Amino acid sequence: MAEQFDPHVLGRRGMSRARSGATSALRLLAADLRARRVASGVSIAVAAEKLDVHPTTIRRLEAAKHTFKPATVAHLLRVYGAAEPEVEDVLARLADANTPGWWHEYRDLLTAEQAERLDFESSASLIRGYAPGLVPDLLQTGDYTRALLAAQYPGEDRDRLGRRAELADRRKREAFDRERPLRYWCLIEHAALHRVVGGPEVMRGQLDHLNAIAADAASHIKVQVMPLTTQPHPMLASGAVEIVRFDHRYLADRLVVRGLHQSAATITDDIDAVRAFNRAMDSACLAAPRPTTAIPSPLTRGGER
Amino acid sequence: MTAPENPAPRIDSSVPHSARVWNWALGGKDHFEADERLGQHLERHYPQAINVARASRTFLRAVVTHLAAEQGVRQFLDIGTGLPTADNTHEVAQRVAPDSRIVYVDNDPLVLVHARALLTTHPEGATDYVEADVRDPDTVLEQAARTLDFDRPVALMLLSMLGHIVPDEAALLVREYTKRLPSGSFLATCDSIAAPEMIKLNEDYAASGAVPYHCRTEEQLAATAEGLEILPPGVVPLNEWRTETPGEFTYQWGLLARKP
Repeated sequence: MAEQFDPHVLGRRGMSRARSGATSALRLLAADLRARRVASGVSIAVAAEKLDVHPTTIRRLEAAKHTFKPATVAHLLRVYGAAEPEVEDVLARLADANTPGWWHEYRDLLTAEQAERLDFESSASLIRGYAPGLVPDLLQTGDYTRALLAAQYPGEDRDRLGRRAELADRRKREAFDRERPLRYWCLIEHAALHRVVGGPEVMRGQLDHLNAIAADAASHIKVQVMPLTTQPHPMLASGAVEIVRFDHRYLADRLVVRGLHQSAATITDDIDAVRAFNRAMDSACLAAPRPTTAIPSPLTRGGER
Repeated sequence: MTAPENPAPRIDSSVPHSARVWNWALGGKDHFEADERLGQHLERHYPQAINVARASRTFLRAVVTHLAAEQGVRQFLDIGTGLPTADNTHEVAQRVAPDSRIVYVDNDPLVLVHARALLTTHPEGATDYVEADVRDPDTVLEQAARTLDFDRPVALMLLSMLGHIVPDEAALLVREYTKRLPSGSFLATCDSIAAPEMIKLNEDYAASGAVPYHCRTEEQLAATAEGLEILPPGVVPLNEWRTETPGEFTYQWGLLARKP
């Protein structure tokens, strides 16, 4: 599927990365094709015969490792007994999946790893995050983001910084203001709120924002803040991570470990790695106050009220 | 300097755990190696029986939809809720009536952590979470009263969880609850039926180190609804409950009863 991508954004492949290249939307579609085949009782061999292709082609299609041609997809769906309106529905989704994501216009600002994270986010149903040092991107106020960007990109001109802030803002809207909003469950170390970003005003606004989320029972965002007084928990040995979950049964969870440079960042769907982090996250979340708890003000000067 | 707080409960992922094995059987992703191994073992040896989790979930959808849409129930007390998955009680109820109020009760801290994070109410309704043991009705009902009005009908749901208690005790326990619910309340319950294959499956299940699970007879299941009217079609396999088109056979049986 590499031809789908802008080579500047997604051309590089690091050694440590379990990447298969296809976008999340295409992976979901491939998982859906597999589920439909299984449900209809058609074997890979029979599907291949009906399509007059090698069985490997069907396997590659179901792993999103083969280009989806609309005619092929339609033919397969009919073999699996799908009604015409369903076929049209899937073809519309295929067309959508082949349309560049909303972040495409910002690709000059993004590393391949950042673009891949946005791609996951666009199709994910749930993300569990751990934030040891900073407020996570999706929960930052605009002021906090701008202060952080200025520190992270000291040489950048105002125009590019402005577009980065715009991208960050758009990203929150795309995640939480869509038809099926992303569920975001995040564990933040209270230590991260002691770190003053942008000054006391900015930190007050940031804390108010997090408290507003905590007070809203119907929010799809759930934040647990780990007090500094809690006994050491397993996540302390980790940096910032996210576990990304897609709704589809055949699409595995993915672990995203952030790095300062994209060669130091990991994205993997290795089940042992995902389980180890899920277990550690569970242990840590068990030790933290529940998501509706008001967040205590940090003691640093920046957070004083 | 404040002293560190008490350590949190520990997660032992080396032995199978009922909520996680159930999650595996439903096609969820919140289970560890031991749970998956046991699930696969049961699937290999008891292919006829492994569909009980899916049957139970289908029953939940049917019974909650019926209660919300046909019986006008707006309050649900779901005990032994398990890990969040697709179509949880509040989602099914609030799809019909957004103002529905649901209290989830479980004695497993891990289940509660996931429930608090993921079982999010519709803005017009409410969900709450109670960490308590089903064997302690005083605590359960007292905590549930924060969210539910016990002067109005409540649907008590005990789905595929009473098997943790031997049948006769379970029937007495359920009566402790139903006698305190107002007239017009409901009991929905289902469980594994004492057929030879299901009994064997549960022997294997307990041998794995998981907490044992007890099957029950049709009569023992009916005894949980003593003093209530069991609604048609009665105590039946879940695939036959209020449907024109019975799905695949299942060893999970259930009932819906109304308090006069």
